[in-house]
Amino acid sequence: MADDVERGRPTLRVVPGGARSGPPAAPGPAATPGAPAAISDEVAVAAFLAGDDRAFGEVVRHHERLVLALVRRYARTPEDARDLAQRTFLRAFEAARRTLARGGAGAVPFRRWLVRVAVNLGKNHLRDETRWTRAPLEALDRDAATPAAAHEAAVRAEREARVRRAVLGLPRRQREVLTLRIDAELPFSEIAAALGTTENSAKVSFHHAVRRLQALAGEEESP
Amino acid sequence: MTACRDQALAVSLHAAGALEGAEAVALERHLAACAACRAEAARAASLLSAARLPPPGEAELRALDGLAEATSAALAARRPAARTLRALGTGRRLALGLLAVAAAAALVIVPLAVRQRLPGRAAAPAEVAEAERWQEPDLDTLWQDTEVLSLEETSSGGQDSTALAAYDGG
Repeated sequence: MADDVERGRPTLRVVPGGARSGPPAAPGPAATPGAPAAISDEVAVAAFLAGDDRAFGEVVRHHERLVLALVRRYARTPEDARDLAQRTFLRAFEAARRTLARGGAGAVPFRRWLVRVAVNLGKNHLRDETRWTRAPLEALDRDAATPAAAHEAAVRAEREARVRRAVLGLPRRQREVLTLRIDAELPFSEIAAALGTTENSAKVSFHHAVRRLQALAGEEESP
Repeated sequence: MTACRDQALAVSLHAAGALEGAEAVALERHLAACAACRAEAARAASLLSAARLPPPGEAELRALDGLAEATSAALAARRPAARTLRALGTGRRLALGLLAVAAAAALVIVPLAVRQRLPGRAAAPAEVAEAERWQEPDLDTLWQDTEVLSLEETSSGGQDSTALAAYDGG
């Protein structure tokens, strides 16, 4: 088995820095706790294809928090989020397998594919209202010190639900850029790479998303 | 009072914490002097704060338990060749490997052996017989032999033609 792994290595061009195309701009859900993966995603995927079942498990563990951060906006329950996360990994792996089988370009930008698959799969999965677009019952805050504080919490929760519903109503590119930034804290360079656009274009889309979100949530600046 | 258009993009990026270095310094300086842009920056930050999801709860993190193993197992199940190999066990896999090596060796050796018996070389027995008959020529009689051959070539006797044909392997 180890021989298979070794055999797989010379055929691959490992992307410098492994799975990470750049440091995150700020600590957030994308920041993977602990040290970076011992081997790059590319090598791990190739090793898995060569028969090493543990290799892909390492890749999943390395990225599961990132994928969860990206899909949970579209999930109704934690189990729903897990199901979405697993489907994301399976689809990204299938893309990697096909690329390697074709002899491809050598490098497999697995993390980039994960991000792209996650945002697409999440939105396609969405059929009903998600739990994040409803003002939770907890907002009633039974333990609030005063009725005024409870009321304030309820108003805040209602606003959050309204804005989060508005996020799902954004045009596709704006929604993708906005959620990759606020859900996964990805730097704009990585957002651009995942969506196949330029960094400047991603920043402009983000700005338009903020403006559109204000309009959809009824929070436009009064004239 | 409206925000400055030329600062709108920077204000949105600032609200997302994505402005760095000289751009961040320049915007901060502008915000300190422009109340309209300051209000716009606060509104954008508040909006993004509402749009953000709360951090994953315990139930969500617990749902990830075993995800790596389950995903790997699902992928492995889609790999029929590997599944078959695993089912064979170590001993049989080794035997299968040796069989593969033998097959590869056969692929190399058989063509070499066959090449020795190509159609153009089908007269090998005649060659062997001729080789067995071969004697080192006596240099003193070499010219005489040449003359004999010359005579035989010019002769039109059926017997000689048959002999030459046999010699050429025809």
